[in-house]
Amino acid sequence: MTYDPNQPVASDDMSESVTPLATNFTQLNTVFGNDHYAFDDTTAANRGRHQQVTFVEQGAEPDAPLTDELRMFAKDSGGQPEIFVKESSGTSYQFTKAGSIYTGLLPFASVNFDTTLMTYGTTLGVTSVTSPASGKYQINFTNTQSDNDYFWTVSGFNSGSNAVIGQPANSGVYSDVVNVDYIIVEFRNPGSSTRLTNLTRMSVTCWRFQ
Amino acid sequence: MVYRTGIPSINNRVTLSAAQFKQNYREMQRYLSRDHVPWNDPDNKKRGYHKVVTLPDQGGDPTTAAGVIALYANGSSPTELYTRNESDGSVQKVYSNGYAVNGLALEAYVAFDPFGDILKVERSTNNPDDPGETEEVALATSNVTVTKPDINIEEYTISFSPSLSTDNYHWVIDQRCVSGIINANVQIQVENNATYSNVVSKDTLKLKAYRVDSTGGAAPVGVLERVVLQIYTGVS
Repeated sequence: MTYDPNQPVASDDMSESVTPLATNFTQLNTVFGNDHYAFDDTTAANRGRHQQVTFVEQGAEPDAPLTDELRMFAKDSGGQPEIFVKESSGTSYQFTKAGSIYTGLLPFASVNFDTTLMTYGTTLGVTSVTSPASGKYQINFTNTQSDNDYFWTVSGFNSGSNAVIGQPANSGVYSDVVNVDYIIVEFRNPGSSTRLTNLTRMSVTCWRFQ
Repeated sequence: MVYRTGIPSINNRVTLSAAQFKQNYREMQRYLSRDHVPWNDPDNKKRGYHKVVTLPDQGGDPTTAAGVIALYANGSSPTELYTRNESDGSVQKVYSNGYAVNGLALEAYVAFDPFGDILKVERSTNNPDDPGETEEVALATSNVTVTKPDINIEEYTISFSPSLSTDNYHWVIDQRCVSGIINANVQIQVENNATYSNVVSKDTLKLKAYRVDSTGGAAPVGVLERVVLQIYTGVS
């Protein structure tokens, strides 16, 4: 059954038009029911509303919308359909990428922890925190990263009167401490060679390019 | 009054079928006008376009075929927005408790000066009737206020109202110092304290600037020019 916009035909008898007209009313309801609550949905309040919005990948970007309009569509990015938004100026922005909202930088690991290696709150992408040496803390990632050229923030505080400097652990080899599977951090007071072991709490977050 | 899919019946007279047709047309018009520009809108270029997209809770994740990506709502109290990749692929929450999500939710941010005053920028209002019109926009989320309890100490209390969703959040803090000031090597951080909740809570975060030179101790007053802070929470 397919919707036929040319029905009924003026020269047809009504008996001939009955079936195509009924088909059209059924198809209007069925096709509109894709993504929408159908015209005859049992919940009247939902009729016409969306169940979801399915974007079929477009081979080319649509034209820019008119002034005061936005146009949302899907096109290929990295081998899969992603959602884009196009402004009336013609500029389009990527909205999703590889299962995440596209913001340019994607946080992939974040943890709030203490010196007992206990973590607090909801961690992101971290299986555990271990201590490979006194005053060193290794944040173990859930997923191996594609490379170790990522961004980090490291901070903490204790009960002392001096600043607490958090950083990736000092090492002559970058990948020893900034690794695809983990990052090792340490904390010191300014001018001190001694790693701190009395921190109240530490926070580490890592981001990578999307 | 309901939309009927089984009409016309072959035994009906046209007078009866005509009434049923009109009823279906009215129902289609009525329900398509929810979320969409109506089929009979005066602006014929916009007919069928979306006005808004209302997404009731689906009670689960929809299936997706190859070559498509779905945007939908799931959950209750609150209902949240999600995307799902093609071929029943990965599910991504777009917003959580009103905050945009990208692995982490940015629940608060602020940039402030050494007096604790939140910085503002001048931005166009994009008013077509007054292209030169501007407005001041605070460099902070609306839930943030900053106070400096003692003018003689570089300490700041960041208050959150409404409260943050958890006190176990992740903070990113940095500062810019005034150039040409002796002892300008400082770091602002969560104020040192043996007890976490004394300085980090859902409602407040206490910051303090310290020297990072060999002298140690609290930073001298007047050394800071600007402080930037971001608060992220993990999303389950």
